[in-house]
Order: sequence, then C-alpha cells, then structure tokens
Amino acid sequence: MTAFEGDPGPTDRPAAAAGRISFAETRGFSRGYDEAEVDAYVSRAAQDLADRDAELDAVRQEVEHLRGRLMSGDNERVMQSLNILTRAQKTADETVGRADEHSARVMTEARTLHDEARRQAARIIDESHRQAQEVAEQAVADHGELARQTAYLQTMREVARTQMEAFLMGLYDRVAQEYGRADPRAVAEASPPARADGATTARPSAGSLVSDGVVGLGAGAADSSATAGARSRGEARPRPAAVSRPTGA
Amino acid sequence: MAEIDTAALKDNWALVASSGPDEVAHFFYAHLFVHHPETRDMFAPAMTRQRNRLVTALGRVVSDVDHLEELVPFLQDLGRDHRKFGALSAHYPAVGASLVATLRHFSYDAWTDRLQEDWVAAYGIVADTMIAAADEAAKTMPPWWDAEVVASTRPTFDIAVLRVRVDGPPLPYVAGQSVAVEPVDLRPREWRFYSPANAPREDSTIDLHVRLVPGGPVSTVLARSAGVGERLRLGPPIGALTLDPDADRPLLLVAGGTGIAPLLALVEQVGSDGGKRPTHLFFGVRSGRELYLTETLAALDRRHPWLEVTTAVSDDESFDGPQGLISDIVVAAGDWSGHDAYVCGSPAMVEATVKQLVAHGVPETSIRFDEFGES
Repeated sequence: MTAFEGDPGPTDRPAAAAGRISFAETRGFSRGYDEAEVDAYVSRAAQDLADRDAELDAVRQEVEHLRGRLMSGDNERVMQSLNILTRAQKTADETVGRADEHSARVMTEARTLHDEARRQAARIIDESHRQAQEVAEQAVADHGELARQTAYLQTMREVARTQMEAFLMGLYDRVAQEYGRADPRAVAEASPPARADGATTARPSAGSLVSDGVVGLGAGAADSSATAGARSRGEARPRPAAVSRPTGA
Repeated sequence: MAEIDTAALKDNWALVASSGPDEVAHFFYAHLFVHHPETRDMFAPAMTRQRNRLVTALGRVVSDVDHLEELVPFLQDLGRDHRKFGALSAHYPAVGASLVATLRHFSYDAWTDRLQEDWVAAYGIVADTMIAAADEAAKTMPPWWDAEVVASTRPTFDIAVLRVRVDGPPLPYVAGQSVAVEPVDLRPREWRFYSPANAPREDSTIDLHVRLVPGGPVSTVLARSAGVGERLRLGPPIGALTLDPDADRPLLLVAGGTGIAPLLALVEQVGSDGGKRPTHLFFGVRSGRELYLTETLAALDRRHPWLEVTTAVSDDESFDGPQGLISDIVVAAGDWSGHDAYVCGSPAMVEATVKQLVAHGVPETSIRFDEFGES
C-alpha cells in the first residue's frame, strides 16, 4: 500500500494538528477559547475531514479498480501462456509418440523378419541335411551295385582266363602236333620250354584283356569264341581270328 | 485446523478427473512451468508418460486417503524416488500451488473456500511425508550415482549386455535388486529400471542386460546406441527379489528372456555364500534368437556342482532342446514345493509361472517375483 504512505491516517491527525492550531483566550466574564474561533475551526476541520474521506474513498476505488484490472490482465496472460505451453507440449508429445510408434513398428518388423529368416535358414539346413542323407544313401546303394558288378566281372575274368588258357594250350598242342608231324625230333627237344613260354605269354595277355572294364564284355565274347574255338579244335585258321576279335571289339 | 473432509476431496477429484485425466495433467504442468520455469528441466521433453504417472499417483493418494497405513509408505517411496529427479523441498510449495490451481480450474462453480483449505491441508501432509522420507534418505545416500559404460556387447541385434562402472561411492545394492537408469545424454530425464546381472563387485562394475522394447525410448538407445564412454545415472536400488540370508532351502530360479539378469546375480550370490543351496535355473525364451547366454550358462553349469541349468524355447522349431512355455517346463521337471522360488520376466510369463507353481504345491509365500516394465 505504498500509495497511502503520505496520507496522514485518522489516528495521526490530532498529533499533526497540535503543532499549528492555537485558539485565542476569551476575554471578559468567562475563561477559555474564543467560541467563534473554535466553531469556525471545527466546521473547517469537519469539511477537511469530509473532503479527505471522499478523497480516500476515491483512491480506494481506484486501487480496487486497478487491482482488478491487474488481476484479470495477469490471469489472461497466464491463461494465454498455459494454452500456448499446452499446445506446444501436445505437439511435441504427438511428434515423439509418432517417432516411437515408427520405431516400434520397424523393430517389430525387424524381429519378425529375423525370426522368419531364422526359421527359413533352419528349413534350408534341414532340407540340405535331408538331401545329403539321400545322396549318401544313394552312394552306399551305388557302391553295392558296383561291388556286385566288380565281383561279376572278376568272375568273368577268371572264367575268361581259364578258357583262354585252355584255348591257348589247345592251340599250342595243335601247333606242336603239326610241327611234330613235320619234325618229330624238334618237337621232342623244344616241347617243355615252348609250353612254358606259351603259358607265360598267354596269361598276361588274357589278364590285361579283362582288367579293362570295356574289354570285359569282350572277354565274355572271347569266352564264347574260345568255347567255339575249343569246340572247333582241329581247325587251325579260325582260332587266331577268334582270339583277336575281342581285342578289336 | 479442522478435520479434512476426505469424502469431499474424493468427490472433488472425481469431478476434476471427469474433464479427462490427460487434460488435467496438461493444465497442471503448464501451470507449474509458467509460474516456475526452472522446474521444466526436471522433466523429459515428451511428457505423455509423466502425465500418466501424475494422474495415477494422484488417484492413488486420493483413493487411499483414508488408509494412511498404506498411503504413507507409498508417499515415502515416492519422496525418496524423487531425489534422483533433482526434486528439492523448495519445489514442493510450487507443485502444491499448481495442483490447487488445477483442481480449482477444473472444479468450475463447485469450488469452495472449504475445498481450497482441505486440499491445501491434504497436500501439506503429502509433501511433508515425502520431504521427510527424502531428507532421511539423503543422510545415507546420494540422490543418484554417476556411471559410465565401460564395455558393451550385442549378442543379438535387439539385446545388449552393458558393463557400467559406478563412479564415486559404491551403489549399495543387494543381488536381485534393480536400479533406475537414465541415459544422461541420449535420453535425458527418462528413467527405466534394470537389474544388475551380478552380485556387487569390488571394482564397482555392474552388468545390465538390455532387451530392446519396440518404441521404448530408453531401451532403444541402450540396446542400439550406447557405446563405451556413454554416461548414465543410476537411481537408488529397490526391490525384494533378494535372498533371505537366513534361509537354506534349495532354490528354483525361473527367468523369461532378459529377466534372467537378477537371477544370475542370485546365482553369483549363492556361489559367493559357499554354494550351500542347491539351485535349478530355468531360462525360457520365445525364439532361438534370444538365447544370448548359452556359453555363460554352460560355463556356470560346469563350474558349480550345486547348480543345474535348463534352457527352453517356446516358439522356434529349430531349437535343439526342450520346447514349450517355461512355466510348463518348470512344473513338469519336478516337485518344487520344498524350494524358494524366484521368477522374473515379462508380466505374462511371471503370471503364468506363479500360477503354475502355486497350482503345483509351491506356497505363495515361497515365491518372489519381479517383472519388466512395458517400455
């Protein structure tokens, strides 16, 4: 209430007045102040008091009015600030909320993709395992077939070799016989070593024939030719041709 | 002072809240920040969660106003918790003034002098309780601990294991408790709770297992962005997922995902107590992607004869091991009625596991649990 500090309140009015107010003493019969002067002062003081009260009321009204304006102005500004701040905060929250939502969506998708990729990878691995298993089983099966064929071919080789030997021996005997007729003495001398030589030369050639897979079939053919050769023993010419046929096949 | 008319406060709060809790909270914070701009810095830029928290806390205070035996501990926790935000006793009158202004604003013609008096008186009691608890806590603990990431690994794209070193005085936690974590630079003023995955160490380091929560502001930066040197603040330890030092019963620990962190701390604690309590740790995840601890768990299993570890996956056919919900696998694996059970994981996992254990004869009093927050 700084506005009122200069205004002498009702309580200090007599004190302030005491210094400057003086009344003349009455003369004649009665002692005391001059009645007229006192009356005049009292009426003047009453007027002053009324004036000041009126002034005070006016000032008080003015203060109330100003205070009211001040308050409403303050409230208005405060409300404005509150609204601006609230709007700003709502905007900020929406923006952040959208960003968080986006981030959530991206992460959820990433997780789904990741898990899907894992599942797919697992499926691929399973499938590869399955296929590898199949290949391995096939290989085992193939190996069995190969072994069977090899065994068959080995048998064939032995058969072919035996028959070839028989054929060659037959051929040798025949040659020896033919020679014997021409020169019996020479045959008697050459017979044992020549027979041995014939055996050693015939074996490797028969072996080499069968060691080759392709020729193996030829060995089968040789088998039949050799059999035929053996059957037609006694005829010199066709036999060498029968022997050479498998090699050419 | 006249007795507070709590029924009138409840009615008034119901009236105020009918304007929409979020609107009310918006007005409250705007009022606070206009009159005390210095308080704005104590809050995160985005305020959505904060408004929810305010409305929840106010609702709790109002509804429990006649049950002081429950309300007082809640307010004491709240007061202690607010220290880490930098709240000082000087802030409380500012909050009170804005709170009363907010209530008056949304009461319209229903506002009375009596309501004003009662709200002011009630808030005074709330503030005094919070301040007293905060001051008491201040005698023994700093408001927060500064910490720094000293190592980080990302076993998978959405899980990170951070080793942080606490600077200054040690953080006095017990194995199994959690601490609030604020990434000071990456997400200022956002705090989320994490559980150290280790018992307290001499070198003041703590391992945090962070699972990225889609859209979670703190977990996202901790799991993806926080590298060595990242600054964090840690709040005071809370939680009761701790070992009773006097108990000697065998332990059943059931974890879902990164909920295994506090349970690993318990395993360490059992070990450093001499391995006297036979312990079975179950670790359940949805996808094989989340199996980020395979080697750690295998090593623990090998090292500790008193420990057995079972890992199960619920939704990944490619996993070579037990498949199914961990809650089912646990109860199928044995009789746990003589064990002390500790359960930590997602709310759904915790609920299912506790329910199953109770149904299979484990007394509720023998089960302690903790669950993840939503973000």
